Amino acid sequence: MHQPIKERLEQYLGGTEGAEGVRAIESHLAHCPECAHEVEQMRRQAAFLRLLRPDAVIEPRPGFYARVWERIEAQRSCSIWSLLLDPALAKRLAFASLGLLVLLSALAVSLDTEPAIPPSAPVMLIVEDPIGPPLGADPAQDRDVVLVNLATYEH
Amino acid sequence: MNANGSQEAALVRRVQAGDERAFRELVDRYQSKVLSIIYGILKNRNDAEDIAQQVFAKIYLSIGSFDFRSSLLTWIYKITVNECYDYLRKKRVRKLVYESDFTEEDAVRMMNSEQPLEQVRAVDTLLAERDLVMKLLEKITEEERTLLLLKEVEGHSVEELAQMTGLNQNTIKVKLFRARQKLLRAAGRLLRRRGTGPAL
Repeated sequence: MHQPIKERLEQYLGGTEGAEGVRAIESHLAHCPECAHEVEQMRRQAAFLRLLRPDAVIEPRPGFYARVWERIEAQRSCSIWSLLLDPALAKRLAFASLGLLVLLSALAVSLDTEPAIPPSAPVMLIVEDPIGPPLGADPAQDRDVVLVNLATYEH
Repeated sequence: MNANGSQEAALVRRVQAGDERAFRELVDRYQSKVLSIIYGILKNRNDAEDIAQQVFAKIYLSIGSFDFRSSLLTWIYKITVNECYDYLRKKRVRKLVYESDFTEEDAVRMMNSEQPLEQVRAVDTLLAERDLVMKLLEKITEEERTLLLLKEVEGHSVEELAQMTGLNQNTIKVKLFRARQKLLRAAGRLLRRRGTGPAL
């Protein structure tokens, strides 16, 4: 199809081309069988497509919105289940659960075998401190040690 | 963007934010349009209403993906036509797509009508032609189909299509021309296979 016709084709087919434009197009078509044939085919095609035009404006029956909303609710719940039932996601969930289970088991075993840490005994540390001077060497220090022992004594 | 466009954008943003009242407003605004589009394609009121419900459910569930590049109507139109195709595929309708939509009542009305037989036959031809249109429209892209239908069925001009899609007028003209050529080629192939002369 020649460019001038191609450029005005939509307006021509839609009947919105001005009188002068129509005259120019038709004069070209009269002398160009190739363009004339293609334009005629497209004109028939446009008429064909217009078969899909509704012959009336259709109003919905009462309660249309409620039915739409019911459908949305149904598809929402359905989509959550379909997500869970999706094989790829189910596989990933199974692997993740298995991994978590292995981790928890390993943690439980390590907690069972580790010896309990005794509470710190500051008194023992003071009494058994090998660096301190021996008993009787310094009476003032001996008194302090006895006082600490008495103060922290536990049954 | 004009006043209508900005109002429409505000409405969509409210629906995207989960405002149910805004969605109701959207349904009220577009329900008869959607129903009419479907009815134009299927010519069956019961099915049209069922598909329209599905169209609005789909709109609600996928409104988050609406990116404002085209108008809301263009987006809704595309969803509606796609739902009609889904319906037709599910029904596995073949030769005369809408044959089953003729009720007994329709048949009696046709038989008792004063119309000459040629005109009764013409109804049959009309259905076959519409079947052909739908089949041919499957051969072009979704964008081309939407543009062609908005132009020929909805009667929008190239200027309006440019506004609705955000494309410039020359691009629209080129796309429409390519779509028309593709349709002609597809029609030629289909009719050669059937062993009949070109109908378009």
